[in-house]
Amino acid sequence: MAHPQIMQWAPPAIAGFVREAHTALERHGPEHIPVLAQRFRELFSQPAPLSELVNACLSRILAGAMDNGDPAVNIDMLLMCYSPVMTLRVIKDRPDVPSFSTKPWRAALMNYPANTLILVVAPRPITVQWYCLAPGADFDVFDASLQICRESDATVGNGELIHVEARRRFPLLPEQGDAIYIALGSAPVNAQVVSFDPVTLAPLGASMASEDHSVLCVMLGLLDPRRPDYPLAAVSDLTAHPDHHVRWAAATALGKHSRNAALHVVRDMAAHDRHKFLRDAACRTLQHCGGAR
Amino acid sequence: MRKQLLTCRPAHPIGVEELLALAEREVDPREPAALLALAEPLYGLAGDPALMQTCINHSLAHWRQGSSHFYSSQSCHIASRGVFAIRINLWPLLPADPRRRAILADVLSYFDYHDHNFSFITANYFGPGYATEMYSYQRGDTAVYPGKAVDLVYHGRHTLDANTVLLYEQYRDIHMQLPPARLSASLNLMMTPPDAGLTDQFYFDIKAGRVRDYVASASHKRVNALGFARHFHDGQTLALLQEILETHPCSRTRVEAARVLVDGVVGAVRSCAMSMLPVAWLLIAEVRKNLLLAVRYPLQPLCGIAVLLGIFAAVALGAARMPSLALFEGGDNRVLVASFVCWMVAIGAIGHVPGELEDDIKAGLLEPVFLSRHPVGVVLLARAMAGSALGVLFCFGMLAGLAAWSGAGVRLGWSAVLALVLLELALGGIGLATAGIVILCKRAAGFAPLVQLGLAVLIARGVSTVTSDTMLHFPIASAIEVFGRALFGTPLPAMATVAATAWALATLGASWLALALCVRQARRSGSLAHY
Repeated sequence: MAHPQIMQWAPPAIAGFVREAHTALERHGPEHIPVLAQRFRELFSQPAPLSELVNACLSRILAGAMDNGDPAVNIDMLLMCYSPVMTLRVIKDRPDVPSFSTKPWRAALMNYPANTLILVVAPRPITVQWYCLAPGADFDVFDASLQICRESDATVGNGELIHVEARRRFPLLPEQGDAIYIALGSAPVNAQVVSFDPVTLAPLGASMASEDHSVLCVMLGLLDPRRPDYPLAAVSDLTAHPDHHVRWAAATALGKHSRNAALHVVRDMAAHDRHKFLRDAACRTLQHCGGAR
Repeated sequence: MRKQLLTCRPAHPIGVEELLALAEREVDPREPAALLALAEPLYGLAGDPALMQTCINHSLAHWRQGSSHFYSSQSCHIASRGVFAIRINLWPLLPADPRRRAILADVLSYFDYHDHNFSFITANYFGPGYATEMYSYQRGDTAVYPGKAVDLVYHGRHTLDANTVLLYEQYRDIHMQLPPARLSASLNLMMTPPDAGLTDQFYFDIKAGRVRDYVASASHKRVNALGFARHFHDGQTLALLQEILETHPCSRTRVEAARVLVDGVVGAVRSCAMSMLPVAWLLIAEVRKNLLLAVRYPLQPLCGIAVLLGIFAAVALGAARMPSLALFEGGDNRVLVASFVCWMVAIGAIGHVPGELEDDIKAGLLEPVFLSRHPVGVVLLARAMAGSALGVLFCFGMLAGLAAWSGAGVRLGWSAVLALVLLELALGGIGLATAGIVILCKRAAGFAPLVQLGLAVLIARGVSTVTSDTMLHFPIASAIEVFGRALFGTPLPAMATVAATAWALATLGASWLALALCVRQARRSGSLAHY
């Protein structure tokens, strides 16, 4: 059961949609996103729900409820839902939304790691540049095979939807300040956000797609293996985490604490892990251990 | 910034709850510097390696429930009480690759000078600790904003090593962190005043000695959120913005609310203007067409101008040479002039369109009217206004000249212009209805002089230096009455203008309907089958 942070003050129509969409995505997974398109578009192409949302936001500002921050309010962004299985955001005034587009200070293109519906609210049509994976490449593996190419340009008008199939391609949205994007995203389908050089399209670097998973990796890395209260059960449990970065971080942490327990896990990974990166890493680790022995 | 060097951990370090209780007891929130009195207990707590491990153990055990002490990859919240909170901050290494280094430095806020809207003391928790460049400034009572020059005092470079506790005072100390040689962590005791959410944190450009930008604090996010009202709003939004503008305790929030309100009004005016733009272009095109026709066939307009000049000369000479000559209403020549201007408007607005339309019908050139992207009524109204606009402007200029030369007591202010516009709209409406009759009956432009004659009588009877409220009860007559009052300086209450405006719009609406009915009937009869 995923635990969503849902904007508590969302108007009833939006809150109802969030609950409905969250349940559906939790049950059916990221591939279910297109099924929600019609309902999503019907709701947010009307001006009334968005005006109500803004009025609710202004009422909270007036009442002082936002004086010490509100997790639903970020710079240029209202987070209507943020959970491991779904995000729903209203984004204004910026093309540099993480993973949506270029970041001028980073000078990089970034893939979007989740299947997403983006409703465009703009006074004039926008041009979206699509980038796709080269044949044989995979966003999940950051290695020499990862290549993208420019796929096409598309003109998207007010009230139209952009559908991002994140395993295949990602959009570059234009730097048009008066466009608003309402984005309904699934759970990450790629484990990494990869940045690319906008000119050469060569990969520059990668970060984890989920901040929650990233935090888990940081904590596993900080564990003191010698402490008597070492959380062995929790670490062992995390060796079966859905994200391969977390699984590997857990196996590494376990290795510092108990070589035998870790070897058991690594052997299992080498044989059965669903991610090629982990199977390869586990095999290398076993060879290294064998050599050392 | 103040610094305390400690070398020996307390024999009996206090725990988290004890430190928070001590802070509540000992530190006056109005005196941030008093935090430094807790340097030793914080230093003692920083010697407890179980502190972070306990948080990690709990967070790893409860990751499925989303319950974590780590609210980001860099920060671990330990506990809080009242205005005080304890947290651990991680200070990771930066990668060697320049591009990745720049990205991570931005994420971790390395190398960026900033102040704080809360005070805290900080001790090294593990690792060699970050180095920091320290400055201070006086915020005082003046407003601080990006771009503002500030007087900076340099306090040197310091390292948060294993024996150091540093105090950072809100609104005073400015610093930037440099990445440590190895992964490090700091333990902070923070004191956040209740009004911190109403104040700002800033980035600084140290070289320029200026405030560079806002830090994305709670206050900055709240102010930024107001901007959504630019894109999505209704009547309630404007009322809420107005209330925020009048009552919110944060001045920046009030200013932003005002800005959004102004943008909203300007945006509405702009969008209205944009929607009117095609009509304005149509009007300009009609005026241009008339000017080109006048240049190409100059005899007719020259004759018209000669007649106008002749009449004005006669009026002027009459007023100058024979003041006792009673041309109109007891010898007041202003009435004659005003009547003449009204008459010119009537001829242009009513006669121009039906005459031109009949010529087009004869030549089979109705495409510009019926295949235009504008409604037929708009095209014809533009023609009516363009047809009379030049004549009216000419008459108005002559009137001004006459008034200046002869000293006649006429007032050519905005009210006179407004009255003329109302008259133009009402008479233009009559012109539309007449055009409808021409479209329906083809050769019917002769109908227009009849209407003009009737109006001439109305104008002759209506233009007067004596006010008549009865005139305000009738269409067209009300506009003539308002024009007379504006010109002669007689009392012009707001109700008179309202009545004339209402009648002008009603006349225009009724005439528009008549035109639509005529066009519909013409289509039914098949005479507009090509269009």
